[in-house]
Amino acid sequence: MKKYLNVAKTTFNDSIQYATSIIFRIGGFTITMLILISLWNFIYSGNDNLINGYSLKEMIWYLLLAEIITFGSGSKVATNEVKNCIKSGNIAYQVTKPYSYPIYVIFKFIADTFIRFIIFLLVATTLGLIFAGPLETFNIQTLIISIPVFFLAVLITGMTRILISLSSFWVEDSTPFQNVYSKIILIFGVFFPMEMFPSIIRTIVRFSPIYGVSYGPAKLVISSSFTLFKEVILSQIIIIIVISILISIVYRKGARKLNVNGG
Amino acid sequence: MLTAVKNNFKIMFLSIKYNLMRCMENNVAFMTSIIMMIFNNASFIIQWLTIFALKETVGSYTLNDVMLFWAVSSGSFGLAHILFNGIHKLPDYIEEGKLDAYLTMPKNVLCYVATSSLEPSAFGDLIYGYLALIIFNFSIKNILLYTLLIILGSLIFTSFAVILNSITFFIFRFSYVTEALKEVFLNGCLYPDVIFKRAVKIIFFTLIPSAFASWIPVHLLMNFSLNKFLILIIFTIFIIILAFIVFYRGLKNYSSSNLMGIRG
Repeated sequence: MKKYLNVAKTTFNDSIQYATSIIFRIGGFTITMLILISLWNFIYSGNDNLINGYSLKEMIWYLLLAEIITFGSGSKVATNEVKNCIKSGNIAYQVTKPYSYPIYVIFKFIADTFIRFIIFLLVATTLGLIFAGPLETFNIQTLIISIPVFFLAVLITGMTRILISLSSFWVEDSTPFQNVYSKIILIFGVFFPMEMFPSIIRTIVRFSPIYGVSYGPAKLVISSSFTLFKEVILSQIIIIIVISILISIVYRKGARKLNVNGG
Repeated sequence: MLTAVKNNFKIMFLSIKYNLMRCMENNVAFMTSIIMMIFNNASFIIQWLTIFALKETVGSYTLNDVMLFWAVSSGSFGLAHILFNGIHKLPDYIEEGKLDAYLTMPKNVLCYVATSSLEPSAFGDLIYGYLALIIFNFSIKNILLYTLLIILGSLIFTSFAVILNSITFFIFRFSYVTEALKEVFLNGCLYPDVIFKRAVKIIFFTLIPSAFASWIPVHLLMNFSLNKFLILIIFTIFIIILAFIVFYRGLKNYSSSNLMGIRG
């Protein structure tokens, strides 16, 4: 465990050096959010006070909270770094080291995500307060129960990204698959809470990782419900167990397939 | 003069042809990236179906009209990345001093850099653009006009990218801002004009010209107007000239890193 914590510490120190590059990206995040907020303002511009149980304020907060996880966990460690490591053959050096490569990447991902996540959290909260106003239901209890839920949401995102990147053992480029994953999360988790969809899609979302990655954490902050907290945490733990098993199987199969040419 | 232009076009054509041949070397990867991109873009139909389930129309636009924004944007964006993808690598070339290889050639530097690379998944964008047009707004007239409009759109997008990327000649590490602004340009193209307030619309007509790459072409497809079409052509010529001026002004600031390299 100590070796993984050291990896995380080194990566965290590196990420501080590159924090300025994240600050530049905030501009893009802010304008993208403003466009989506404009869209929701327009949709609510009729006489509807509530759409499927959501007020405009709740909808804007949902969007911002779900986007924090998406943007905040956009570290390249779980995507490009793993993909390039496999494609370039550097993975051959990693398999010989006295640690598990997937766990090493997960710790690296978490450390690299920390600063980025905090910055996006601050920006999104500021945007929420300006364009939607404070959430009346939000209190200290919500804050406390949200921390583990958001942490696990980021962890699931990273693990899913790693799982997709491991497909580079078989396919030339895993980027198209990463893009498809991003779009699925965006459409079914970020743009709309699951209540906006027909019942069949709602059921699929409820039993998919989208629930633990986007809907659950965002809805928890809006509703401040302890019952929802228990449901979300439970589903996140189940998702983590399933993805861990899949990573382990895929990595082992991929590493076995690896051909190393000396030179 | 005319011979020089003709030669440049010939070289650009050959460059694009060889880029395409390189991409098609691995057929499976090439086809996968195209199919995935089509799937990517198509997923946003769900977004709009959901919105139209919540509200009957968006301004005066129906689902078919909104899909025109998608058709025009993805078509223009795709074509720009097929023909002129190299321009998006310009900040890297400038920051790492890799532009030398392009400067030594007796060709137009900007055209040569622009056609030096091709993004395979952009074919997915282009195909999706035509599919969206055929499924939601099919007519022979629309297809012909659409083809012309996405050529103009791709030139506007590429010129805008040239202007942004050329700022790296003056401000180091400006590429972070460039990427963000290109994303804003694309987002501006994808959403109907009616959702934006007047101040935002002014930005999309001036500083970030998404309106010329998407909104005006969509209006032309819905209801053709010669005046709007001429405005679009004049703006396209204006932004291309501006892109050349900014690039060559910036090029004077370029300093080589004496990096040795070979370009095929």
